[in-house]
Amino acid sequence: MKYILLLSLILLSGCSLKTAPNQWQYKSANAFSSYTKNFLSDNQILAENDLNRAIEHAKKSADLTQLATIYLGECALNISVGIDDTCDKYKNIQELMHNKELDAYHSLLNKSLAKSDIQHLPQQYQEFALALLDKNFSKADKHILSITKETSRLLCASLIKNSLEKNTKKSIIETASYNGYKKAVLFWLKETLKDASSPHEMENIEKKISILESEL
Amino acid sequence: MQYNKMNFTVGLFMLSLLLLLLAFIFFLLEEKGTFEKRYNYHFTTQSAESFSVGMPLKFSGFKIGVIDDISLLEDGSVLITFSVRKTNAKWLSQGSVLLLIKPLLGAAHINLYSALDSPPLQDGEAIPIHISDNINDLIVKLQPVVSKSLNVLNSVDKITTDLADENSNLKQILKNLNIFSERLANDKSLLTSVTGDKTSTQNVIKSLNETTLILKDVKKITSDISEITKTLKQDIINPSSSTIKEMHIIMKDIKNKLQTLDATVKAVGGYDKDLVELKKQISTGLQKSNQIMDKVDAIMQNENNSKVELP
Repeated sequence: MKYILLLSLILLSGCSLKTAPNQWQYKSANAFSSYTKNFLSDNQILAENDLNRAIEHAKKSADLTQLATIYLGECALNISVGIDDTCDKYKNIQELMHNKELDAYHSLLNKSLAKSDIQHLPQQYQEFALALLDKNFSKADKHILSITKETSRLLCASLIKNSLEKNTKKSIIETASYNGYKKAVLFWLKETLKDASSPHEMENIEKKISILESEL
Repeated sequence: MQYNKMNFTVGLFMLSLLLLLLAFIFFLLEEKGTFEKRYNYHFTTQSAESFSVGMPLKFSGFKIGVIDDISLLEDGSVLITFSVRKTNAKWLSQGSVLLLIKPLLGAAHINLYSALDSPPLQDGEAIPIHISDNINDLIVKLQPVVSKSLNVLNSVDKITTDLADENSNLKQILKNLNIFSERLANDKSLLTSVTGDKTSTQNVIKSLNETTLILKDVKKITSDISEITKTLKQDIINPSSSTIKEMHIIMKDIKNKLQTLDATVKAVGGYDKDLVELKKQISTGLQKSNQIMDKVDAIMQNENNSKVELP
């Protein structure tokens, strides 16, 4: 009798602690989300740790979609702050799966998009991709400002950085500044430096960059 | 509606938990015998010394009861009451005897000796007690041994005193032996008396003389050898000895250096192990902190998304 009582006690205490079996997926997604913020905020060490954790959790499953998405996300973030990235990590595992959505996204990143890929892109990129495909940069530029997701806006802007209008760049800097995305702010400040119309403006931008880059 | 249902479920869970906890405590106390009836017995003794409240009562080495009360009676004797649990009352029977054990080492306790075939002792009845004092018993047993040892020591003392006396028989025998050996050495006729023949005595003396001559020759040879070894010592042994001494110093120095090196190598080996251990511990620490960070991420981001969100 007493053993049954003890067992019931343990079972009752433990019944509220059940967790989903695919914890690795949740942990991986959360870690990547944290990576996105830390990377853009220029918290290098934390970002590195977040990415490693995201990859580590994703590698707990034979389904490599999560891992491929992380690799692609890492590549996209690099591109969005002006770092050259050819998404080699993704390419290494691309042939192990046939994910049209990821392939389309990859095509967008390396600017090799085909018309048939557009339907597989996330909703917020579709119109921008169409304009890009038509080489209508002015339309693409306008469309960037209508994208609500900040990271997507940063990515699109960096994909057409040489054709971007000055006001759009200013808007991008404001968005990045508001969110504390130091890496993106610095990248776009350096980009606006190319468009500076006067030495005074150039001096101001340089001063801002120098302040942001200095330690304490 | 759903909130009420959740409230009810939580309430039911808490109520079940409380009931289970109470039942658990009840069974625990019951198992400890808290609710069980206790049987009281008593005995009287001349002194309360060596007894105390809470003192255990043992049967076959198992604790079956404790002393509950000690009180002084009008006639000067001491009444001691003890109790046992219902399950242990069967060990106390008519004719049972208690024995207070005071061991040389350890605390005093009471042992119960029972004839299990006898009818059981009723609640509240008296039981006789005997006291076994191990220390006093030991002293009583040791007393005859000590007195015998004293006798032996007295006898040894007497013998040694007799032997030391100048007029003792042993001393006389030793003196006589001394006189005899002196005469044997100086007097030829005594030697004859030992050999039993004069010619033999002459031969012995002649042999002794020849031995003396031989010994003289041997002495001369050894002095010659000594001369030769002196030369050897000067020409060969001394230089060799100094070289060996130098070699010894060098070898000693090398040995010391090797020992130092050995200690260094061992220490380095130890550090290597320490480093591996440290690395392991750091890795474990990192893993643990990563697990915490996973949990913090889950709380902070307040997201239930299992898919990675692309920029």
